[in-house]
Parts: sequence; structure tokens; C-alpha cells
Amino acid sequence: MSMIISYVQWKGGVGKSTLAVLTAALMDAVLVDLEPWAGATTWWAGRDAARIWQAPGGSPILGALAKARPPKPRRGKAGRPDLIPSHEELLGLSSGDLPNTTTWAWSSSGKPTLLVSTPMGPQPLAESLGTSIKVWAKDWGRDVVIDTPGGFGPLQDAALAACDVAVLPVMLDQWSMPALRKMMETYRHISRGLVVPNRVRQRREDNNWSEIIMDPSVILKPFSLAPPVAESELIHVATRPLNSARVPGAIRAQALGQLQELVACIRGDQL
Amino acid sequence: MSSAPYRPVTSGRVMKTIYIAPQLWDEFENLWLDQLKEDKKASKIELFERLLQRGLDQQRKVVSKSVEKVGEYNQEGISNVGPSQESTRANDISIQSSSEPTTKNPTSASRRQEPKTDVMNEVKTSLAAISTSSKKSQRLSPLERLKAASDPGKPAQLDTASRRLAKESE
Repeated sequence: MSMIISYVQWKGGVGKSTLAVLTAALMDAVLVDLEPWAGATTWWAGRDAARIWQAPGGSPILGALAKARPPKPRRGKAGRPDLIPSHEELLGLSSGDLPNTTTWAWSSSGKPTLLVSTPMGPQPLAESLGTSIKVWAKDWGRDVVIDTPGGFGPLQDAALAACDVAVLPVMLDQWSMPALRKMMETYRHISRGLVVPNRVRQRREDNNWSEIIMDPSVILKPFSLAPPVAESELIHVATRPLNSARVPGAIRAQALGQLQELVACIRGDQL
Repeated sequence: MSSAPYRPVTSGRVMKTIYIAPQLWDEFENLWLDQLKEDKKASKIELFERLLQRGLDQQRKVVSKSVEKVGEYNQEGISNVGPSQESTRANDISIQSSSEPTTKNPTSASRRQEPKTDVMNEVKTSLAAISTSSKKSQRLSPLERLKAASDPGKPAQLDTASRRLAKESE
């Protein structure tokens, strides 16, 4: 059975895209890039990224919602996962001014809601996308990894509504930890969540925060602590996928080991 | 300690606040009463000043020793001096061991004979107790600080799609 994994975090710059692309590659999953500025798509496509981001057909995600048909993933090469790319149209979502696609309207509960066009008429984007991704995953018959932008909005909301596992990367510092706690408090109703300490470094601040994050009262249910990902040039700086044949085997073993542990935890092998 | 007779410092005096634990205060009371019995005229304030002066002298001695060692180091190089036991011990001496004699000082033997020389230990204990209690009352642990900064007390009132869909599926 396919699994949907969403990388979400209100705080930006914690490594959502980095971990999303690499774990999607390891899991042979379909990577869905919901980031309007196309971080994962750029990593995936390199110099062709701008062409994909501004493809004349518009956003494959919004197009799929409009037609109620699953988008067709682009085939990944050289260790990259298959991809549903981002598109510049997603930038217009927040203002709701995409012609014939989205608009803000008052919902039945009296709140302004971003609506998207579907064959069944205008629907709230978050619910519509969340439900659709589940359908797409079934259709593809594969695991799906969703990369989201930082902050709170309908795209992150949709990813959380769709997912079987929400993965919350966090840096061990004073900026990320309070944001993580507030986010966990808000999303205690989801089915399962993992907190991944990312870019952990050999320094006193990280050691101190490691002790704090391991305190049983810090991680709130249904979230649990996943194996940390230590700072690694191959994971956090490299432009190539780890399972690419062009990465020398000797130096990638340790980095791969860290990500494989994370993937095992996501799949529930270590729980 | 200066061997000169005690003189109250009156010029350029600056007001300071000193916290003293009750036990130490009692100790001062007894010391003062003892002195009164012996028909000495030092007041309690003078007693305090004498005590503080003694502590400052002791500190000055330690600092001057360190300065000497630094001078030696600069002149002779690290191989000749090294971390001597004396310099290491000098840091430990401080106020606590005011009664410990230094062999070169001719007045140290008589100082050892003075009554209540453990008063300085009491001062240190008293100050340590005060600082510990103030830390307990004011400083939070990192974990407590994180919780205080990030626990809103109730979930944020966000009307999320995931919450709505979760309710529907129930």
C-alpha cells in the first residue's frame, strides 16, 4: 500500500526540501513539489528548472485538480525521483488572482477561503488538494513525498490533510525549537508525525538542545522523535542525489546510512 | 593582611549592600560581645570593616603573586616556569584560607592565633547560599524556558483542512 509523506514546518530553512528530495529518491517515491519557488524542482532539473517552472501548460497540480485526473510524473534520471514539478502559477495562490483557476470567497462557515476550480465547481484548495493527492497516490500505486513551503497556508494544510506521516525537520537552535513546539500543539489531531533533528553539528549548542529534545515532555503525541541527521556535505550541500552513480561510494556510505535510518523510521520499521 | 593598626576608612567611602546569612550574623554578634568583654572599643561596624579589609588584603596578595608569575613567564619563557603548584594554589586560597600562613610573612604566625579566623569561611558559605537561592528563584532551566516560550496553553485556533477532514472521517 502506498504511503504519503509530507515534509512540513512553519519555520523555514530547516531542511524540508533537502530531506524530501533525498528520501523520495531512496524510497523510489513520486516527489510532489508544492513550493511556489520550486526548490525541489530546481534541484531535480538543474539548468532546465526555469523552463519547467514557466512551462506554458500551467501548473500540473492545479491542472489536475481542474480536470480531476492525476498529473503524470516526470521521469527522474540518475538517481532522481519522479517528480510533479512546481510552477510559477503557485505564486499567485496567496493573492487568489490566478484567472479562471483560483479565487478567494466566503466559505459556508463565514471565513474567507481560497477556492480552486474543479469539475464539481469551486472547492476549497486545501481540502480539494489534500483529498486528490490521496487519490493520485492510489492511482500511481507508489509512495508519495510532498515538499511544502515554510509558513502556514492552504498548500501546507493540504499536505498535512493528505499525509500518512508528517515529517517535521527541526534545527537544534533557539529559532526552530519554539516554532516546532507550537506547530505540534496545533496538529495533535494528525495520525502520525516525526520530528527529525536536522543538520546536527558537533557543537555545544546542539548538544544542549539534543538533551532538551530527548526529554519526554518536549515531543507531543502523536509526534515522535526520528533518528537525527548530522551535518553532512553530501546531504546538505551536494547537488547530486546520493544514489547517483557519480557520487563516490566511499564517502557516501555514512550519509546514505543516516537517510536509510530515517526512511526506515518513516516506514515504521523501527517503531 | 596589613600589619598596620586598624583605621576606619572614612574618606571616599562608597555605600555597599552586603547580604549576610543569620548564622553569620550570630557569629558576628558573639565576636562583638567577646570583644566588649575584653574591653575593646571596636564597634560592630568597625568589626565588619576589619573583616573586609582582611579579605581584600588576602586577595591583593594572591593577585600580586599572579602578577609576579606572569612577569617571570614573560622573562624566562614557559619552560622555566610552568604551572607551579604555588600559582595553582593561589587561586584556591582566596578568602577561604585567610588563616593559612605564608612563610615569608613574619606577622602570619600571630594572625593564626587570632580568634574567629573561620569567619571568612562563614562569609563564603553565606554568599554561596545566597547566590544559590537567588538562582533557584529567578533562573529557569533551558527546558523550562523552552516550554514557557512555546506552550500557548491551548491549541492555536486554526481552522485547518486536516482537522476538518479528520472530523469528517470520524
